[in-house]
Amino acid sequence: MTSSNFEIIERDINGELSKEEAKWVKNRIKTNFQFAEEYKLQLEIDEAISENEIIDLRENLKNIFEQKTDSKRGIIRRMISFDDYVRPAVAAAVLVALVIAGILLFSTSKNYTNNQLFTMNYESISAISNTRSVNNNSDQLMKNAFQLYEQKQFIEAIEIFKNYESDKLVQFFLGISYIEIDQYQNASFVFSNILNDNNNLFTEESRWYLGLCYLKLNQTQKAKDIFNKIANSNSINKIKAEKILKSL
Amino acid sequence: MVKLKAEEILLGIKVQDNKVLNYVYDEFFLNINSFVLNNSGNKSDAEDIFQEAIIIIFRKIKNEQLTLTCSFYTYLFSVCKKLWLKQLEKKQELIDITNLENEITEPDNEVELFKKNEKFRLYQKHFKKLTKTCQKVLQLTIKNIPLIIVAKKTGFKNAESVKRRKYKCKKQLIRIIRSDPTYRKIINDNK
Repeated sequence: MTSSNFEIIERDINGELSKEEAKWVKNRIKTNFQFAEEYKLQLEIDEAISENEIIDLRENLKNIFEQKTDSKRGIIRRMISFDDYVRPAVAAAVLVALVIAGILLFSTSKNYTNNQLFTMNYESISAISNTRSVNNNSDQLMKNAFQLYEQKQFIEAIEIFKNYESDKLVQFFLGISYIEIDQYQNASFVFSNILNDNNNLFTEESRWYLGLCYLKLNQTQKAKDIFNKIANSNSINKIKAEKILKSL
Repeated sequence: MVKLKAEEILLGIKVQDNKVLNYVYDEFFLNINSFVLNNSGNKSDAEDIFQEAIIIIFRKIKNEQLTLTCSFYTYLFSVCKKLWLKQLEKKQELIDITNLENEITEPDNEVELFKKNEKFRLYQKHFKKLTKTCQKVLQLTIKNIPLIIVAKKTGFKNAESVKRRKYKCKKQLIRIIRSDPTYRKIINDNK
């Protein structure tokens, strides 16, 4: 693999090449076997690592195998070591350990209010500077809205964001803007709408913020449902959701 | 133990229900294990074959390519058999595989699915060896999530840093894959 091949292939996959460059790549694939193989590998890797479900399933199956093997080993171990003489001593030790664990668990578990959980988990998010989604020429108004957002002029930004109902990226930032001005009910409507359309890139983040809105609105059951969904998924917010659920 | 119907097992695999996956293991693994052990394999081979057969079934369910005309076990066994035969061919074991070859007729799309699964398994295995940061950056960037959001989620300074890290991680992954002898073998087999 040469570095220059890698980068031009990567840029082609991401649609970042000019027409001439893309044409050159197309031709190179036809005429150079090694280049074609490199291209295919880079494409296939992207496809393979986007298969989250398969990666999870393989991990699940591996865990099941390990658990089954461990439980078989455990039975054998118990048969060897738990004779009549050591059993009472072990039982006493286990009891002491359980009591200590119980005390520790009791003393370390903490109940937070929904409001505290929101504050601990909410992070404001910077607006997009990525030009893939905001076209410089065609939509100056939208760019202005993002600038207003960045300057924390949320009310003004909201007025513009509201006009882009079908653009999920804009809708996502509309939801965040509502949170920033403490309009959690409106924010929850916006995030719910994004989630109604599964076919977009912002469902994962929208679900997280929707859960936070429900916390703030004190709708605990709804918040639990949302965080359970996140905790049972492969979301990047999985661990945070699990922690919140423990406190709810 | 309550017996599950084939449709219930397929649905359980589709949604990755751990109870169903455990059931499949408890019900069927011993037979697959005996089959592999009786045909020049060991327990670790049997586990690999069993796991990959479930993954192939999962892929087929997802692609809506699976309509069972036999029991789940018969189907699972046939997939395991094909996978093990391919392994043996690769190992070039001097064993009589005539009996194994009976009944094995594969449609073209199945050949492709098996090949794809073998390759992707290798890629995913090495992907899991990368640092957690690399894994996260690669998975987020290929979803076309704006780089600035990826930066926020992964603690990078800006979009450019994310892009640089993405390139570095992907190059590293390619290098590891290429240095795995299995990769060369797969490429040569597919020529």
